[in-house]
Amino acid sequence: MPELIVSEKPYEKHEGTACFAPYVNVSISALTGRKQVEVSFKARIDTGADITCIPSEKAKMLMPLLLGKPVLIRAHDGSIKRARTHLVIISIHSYPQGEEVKTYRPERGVLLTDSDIGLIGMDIISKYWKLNFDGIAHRFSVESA
Amino acid sequence: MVKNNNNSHSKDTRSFLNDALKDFRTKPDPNERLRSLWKIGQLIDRTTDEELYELAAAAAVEEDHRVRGEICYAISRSQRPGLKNQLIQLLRAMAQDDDHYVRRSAITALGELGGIRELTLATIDPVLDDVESLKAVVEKLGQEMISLHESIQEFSNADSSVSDQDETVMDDYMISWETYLRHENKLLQEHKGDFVAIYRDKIVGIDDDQIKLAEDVYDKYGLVEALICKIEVEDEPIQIPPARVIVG
Repeated sequence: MPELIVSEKPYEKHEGTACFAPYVNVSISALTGRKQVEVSFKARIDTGADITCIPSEKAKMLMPLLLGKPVLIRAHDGSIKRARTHLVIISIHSYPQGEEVKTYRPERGVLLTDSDIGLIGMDIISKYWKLNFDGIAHRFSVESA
Repeated sequence: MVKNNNNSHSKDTRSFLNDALKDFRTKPDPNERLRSLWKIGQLIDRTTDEELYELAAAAAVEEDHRVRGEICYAISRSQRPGLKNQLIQLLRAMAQDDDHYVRRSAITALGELGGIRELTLATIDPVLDDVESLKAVVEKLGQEMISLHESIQEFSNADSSVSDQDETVMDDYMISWETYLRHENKLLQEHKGDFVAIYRDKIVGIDDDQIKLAEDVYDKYGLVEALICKIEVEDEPIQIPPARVIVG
């Protein structure tokens, strides 16, 4: 039974982005949880991303991390590059309570970006989430398996 | 008496020509129109300039290629200094006709009417067009070659990004990845679907539990950058938004 973890959260607009969009508060930790450092940031829910991305500056705080298989990335300009993946635990903070309520371990790992905002990709969305976007009211909800 | 005979003959000829011109204008059957044109061709020097030009202009756009070719022949036999330029223009256009017979007839007529200069122009003009077309095709091919070369270069860069790093960095991760690739076939045969842990050039564990493998690696080697991945055939390239993913 899916559990409501984000309820009617308003869309947000962040520096360097063009529009209001759904963001969740996220924490990350190393796969085994042996290195306990509080690393949090905002991540945009992005169905255009096949795989979850996290800010490299945040990931550095957990280094060294275990690594996943490098993946081939097709960028929107059609170019293909190989990028390494890192194995982390992603924790989603509930709204409005703000507690860490759900954790996910993306099997293929996550990508690092040089942005200060993360992306929750389809590896999490399509596997665990039921989403409700209200573009008129600029609010969204997330239920998670 | 002779004069009368000549006049009478002249009237008959004119009448014959008028009938042929009328038939050409009015008969819907192309065969009949062609026969009319043959008759007119025999008397082409008896037509007025207006009649000839009207006839030539009409025949030049006839659907039946025999009619178009025949008018070229008729024009070539006309001696009309006052119409020469107009007729040459008409023949030049017909020298580009889709039909080979019409083109040849028009070029021959141009030679008759305008001499060697017109003949040469009529012969070379279509070739020049072909040369221009060929030039455009070659230029396009050249651009496609450049584009293809760039794509190949891009693909090579993407494909060789690992080995590029091997030369420059070759960190633990790259050594582990290279180890995985060396053993990939065997791993796929024997442990497909499980997870493998590789540290530097050694396979240090295989398990169906990713977390357990991670614990084992940390227990054995401490906090290191080991590779833990599912043993599976590589997927299609993944799609990401134009965010700034750090590659390598």
